Amino acid sequence: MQTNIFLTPAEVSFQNVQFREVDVAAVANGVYAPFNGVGHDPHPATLTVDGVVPGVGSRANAIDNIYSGDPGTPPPFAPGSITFNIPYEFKVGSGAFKRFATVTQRSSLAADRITLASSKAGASVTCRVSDPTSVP
Amino acid sequence: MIAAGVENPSRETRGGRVQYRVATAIAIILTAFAALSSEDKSMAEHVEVAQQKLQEFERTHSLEALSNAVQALEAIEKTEPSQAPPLQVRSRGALAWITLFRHIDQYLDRNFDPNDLPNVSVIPQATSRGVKYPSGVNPSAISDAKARTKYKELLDQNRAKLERYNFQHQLRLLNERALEGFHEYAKYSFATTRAESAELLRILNGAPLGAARKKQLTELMSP
Repeated sequence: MQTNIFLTPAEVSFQNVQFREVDVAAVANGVYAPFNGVGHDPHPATLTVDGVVPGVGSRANAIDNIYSGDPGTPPPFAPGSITFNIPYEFKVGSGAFKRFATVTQRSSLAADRITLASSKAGASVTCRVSDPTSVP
Repeated sequence: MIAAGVENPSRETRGGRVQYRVATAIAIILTAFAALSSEDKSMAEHVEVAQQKLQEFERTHSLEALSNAVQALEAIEKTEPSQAPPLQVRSRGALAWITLFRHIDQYLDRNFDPNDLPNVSVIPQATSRGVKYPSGVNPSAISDAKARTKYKELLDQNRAKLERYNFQHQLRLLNERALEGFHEYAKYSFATTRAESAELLRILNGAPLGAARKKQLTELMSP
């Protein structure tokens, strides 16, 4: 899943703000258990913000990729999930980063062992295990 | 807060000598400003700060320095014509604005595509055993050396793209802000008499700027 990131409330411009995701370990089980404890990039990129999209928010100048990963284990796949509770930090100018939110990024295989789902900050997508992956 | 849209001193003096030096310095500064009105001081000081920040940008290429230069020039008070500082002082301010635009033009990438966004995180390629790690994973988690090396390359490429994007994006915002600031400066500092307008035009024509930028700034001289 690819998403645009918006900072809200939409009535406020966050164009002078920079922010970043902070490294955090995954909590994973079931089919995703081999990824339990893996972390995010320890040198997260600092993101800038564009203008306000009316009714939506200030759009970040970057595309977010949400991909659960594939442990490469053979079927049958055990239902499970991989979750990152990602702290977000912001700063203005040369100020220090301050934490302002925690965003949950979660991907799962449902109990039916067929339905895959990913979600982050209000965006979500579902597909089936048999669907082709869009990741190279 | 976050939403995602799918789309794809008080320093003690240590002796009379130190106190004497401080007093001497203050006296020199007071003498220097005695010949200027309060408005002159304000403009001269702001221009001086702007020039320092512009020099800092030349050394560091820090957009914060460039932003601080714009901020200093924006802070110049908009005075009544009768209280305007001498033309010579105002011309120094104009030259500072021109130096600012020269720096902006030097670094603006005309081929920059604002729609070509970098990524927050990168998806690693599959390992030789077919394992595909989650997006944004710490490279050290990938045991396959070849896949880890390729992933690090992708991370470096994305980071470089993101830094370029952020620089160009912020430089464009600064340019827009500087154009508004220059327009205000020209309106309040050079638009009262024909002689003033002619002086600003003379400065612009002799400035080390491209034709398009000179045209743009000349148009902004209109009230």
